[in-house]
Amino acid sequence: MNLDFNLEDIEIFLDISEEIENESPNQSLKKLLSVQDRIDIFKDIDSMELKALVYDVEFKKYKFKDYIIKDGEYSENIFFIIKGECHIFKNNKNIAKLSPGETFGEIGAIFKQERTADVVAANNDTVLLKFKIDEENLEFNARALAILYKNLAFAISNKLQELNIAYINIKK
Amino acid sequence: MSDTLEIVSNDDAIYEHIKEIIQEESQKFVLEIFSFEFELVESHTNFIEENELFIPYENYLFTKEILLEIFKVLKMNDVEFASTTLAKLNKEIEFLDFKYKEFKKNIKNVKLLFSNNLASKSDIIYYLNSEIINFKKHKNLSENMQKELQSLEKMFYKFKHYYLLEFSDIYFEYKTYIEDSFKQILNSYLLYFEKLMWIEAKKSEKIVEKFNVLSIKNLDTKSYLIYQLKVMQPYSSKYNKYLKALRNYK
Repeated sequence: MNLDFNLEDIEIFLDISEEIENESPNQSLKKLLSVQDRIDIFKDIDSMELKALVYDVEFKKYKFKDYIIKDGEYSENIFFIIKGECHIFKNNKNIAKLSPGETFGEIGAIFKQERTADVVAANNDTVLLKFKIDEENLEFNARALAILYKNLAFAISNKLQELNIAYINIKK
Repeated sequence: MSDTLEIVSNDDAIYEHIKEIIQEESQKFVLEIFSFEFELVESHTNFIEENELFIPYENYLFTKEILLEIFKVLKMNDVEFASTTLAKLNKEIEFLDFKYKEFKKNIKNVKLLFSNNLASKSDIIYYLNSEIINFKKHKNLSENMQKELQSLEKMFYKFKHYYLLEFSDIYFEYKTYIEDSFKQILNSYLLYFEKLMWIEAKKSEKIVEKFNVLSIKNLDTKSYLIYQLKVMQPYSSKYNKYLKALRNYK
């Protein structure tokens, strides 16, 4: 079967290929790619795959006591702490503290559940990177999504283990 | 699956030989059914591979209608803006998309396809069937011969069932391959179509002027989608589709 494309067309395609290769992502995405190795759920995901996996990537500054997540609300954002700390509150009780390099919100975002706690900025100038996962692109990004779910299962398992230890300590 | 064939023959060599014949016949028949589509996707896949074109991780199939619509809008503003390459790419995308939809629509029930077509074309089924017919031609079959006929018919039934399973595997393997190839080709061509469309739109004074009048920030899909979302009825299905399409443009 002969294709309609000739040499001139191919040259144009190759120029576009070069342009795609040299395309630089926007600032927020660039920053996300630079901290990719520190975000556990993105471990082993290729940067090109990651670019296609995330959307609505944004840096946000929060002031002391600003709500980042509200208990019961619905949102698909996942947060990565760049600077500052965050406190987790359940029924007005401070139950945990999150530090730079930690990720939160991934369970509610991926499983489309209501948020189960409040997360509040613990300092002025708390800087977070927030993003969403494009789960509907299974057709062309299946490998990355499979790795993401594996990493997520691992993260949930770790959190459960921590909870078990905390529960055992309380019982003592 | 192999248990069924073992009833036909316990001899390993014969078993393998029969299996080979079934696979060859099935493959030949599947290729006959999908000959046009198979050749079509093979030639485009080779073209993409030979020229090392990108197949993006983003899903441009989802934005296909939007991109083709933008192309029409741009053409309305300047009928001459598109080069022959862009026009060819547009034609190729529309043709491939049409063939892909037609392919999906024409996927037949594999059991019907087997019983209506392949069963009559298969040499091995024809041979076994004629053996049974010949057997039945004998008048005054003895009790032993009747039992033999019954067991032959039973074996033939099981053989056909085994054949159907093998055929079905090969049929769906090709179907999946062709479907996936269509998607990959379209996804790649749509990426190049989009890039080339805006490169050429930027060279058109009429289009640039129109975008300035509409205060559309840049000549790219993202800016066009943002503009449309502002002027469109919110939360309609089109609005949601445009909003979702923005995911590809970070």
